[in-house]
Amino acid sequence: MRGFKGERVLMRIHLGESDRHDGRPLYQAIVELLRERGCAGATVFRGILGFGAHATVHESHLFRLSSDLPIVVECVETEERIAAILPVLDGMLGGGLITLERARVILYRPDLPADERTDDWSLDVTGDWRAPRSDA
Amino acid sequence: MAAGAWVEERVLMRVHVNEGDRYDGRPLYRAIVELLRARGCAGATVQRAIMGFGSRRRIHSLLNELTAADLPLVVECVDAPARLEGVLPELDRMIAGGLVTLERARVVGRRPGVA
Repeated sequence: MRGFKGERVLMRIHLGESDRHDGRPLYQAIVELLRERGCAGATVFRGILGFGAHATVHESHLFRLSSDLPIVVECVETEERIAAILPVLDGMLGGGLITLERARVILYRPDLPADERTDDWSLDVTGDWRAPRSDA
Repeated sequence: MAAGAWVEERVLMRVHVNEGDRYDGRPLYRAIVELLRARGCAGATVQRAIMGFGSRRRIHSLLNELTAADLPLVVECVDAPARLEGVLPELDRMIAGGLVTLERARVVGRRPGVA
């Protein structure tokens, strides 16, 4: 069952795999925080190469057991919920980067209430979503 | 901008599914990539996450052997709004639970074969 949920904020938190918070990996602590705060979901990606504020290149090595690769934690939520979580994240992140983007969201959930369902497939919901084509 | 290069407004579509989701006897993410290819999309990328949770609140993690085979996946595709509008109803029939996000993307690229 699908529903158009309108505009949401896509938050992406960039950190390092070896960053820790309260004795466990920071990315795990962030996922648990987002879950406790009632966020709809979160996804953690591990990069295969990258560098950050310290300009140290992080790369995976086949024969090393532990690694310090770039991690991105993503979460799509309402602006209000993201705004409430940002101060908490601020206290957890030692270094890193948070980006916020606008995203339109279509949600699939078997138990979606009837008033949140939609049959409209147009991406042009607000009128300004689709910018004029430059090749038109 | 050099000849042959172009900058255009496109939509970045990201489909969030699980690795264990199936459609028509094969992995759902594979079926989605094949659909995008069949509809003439310029490209698609599947990324596997190492951890995540969704509407069922269960945390799937690479470090947990019970969930390591059902990790979150994101299928990304950048294309013209009209093409993605055509693909969305078909995706709707394939996805039972998940999330699709659509973002504006400005594409800078170079058409193959143009000097």
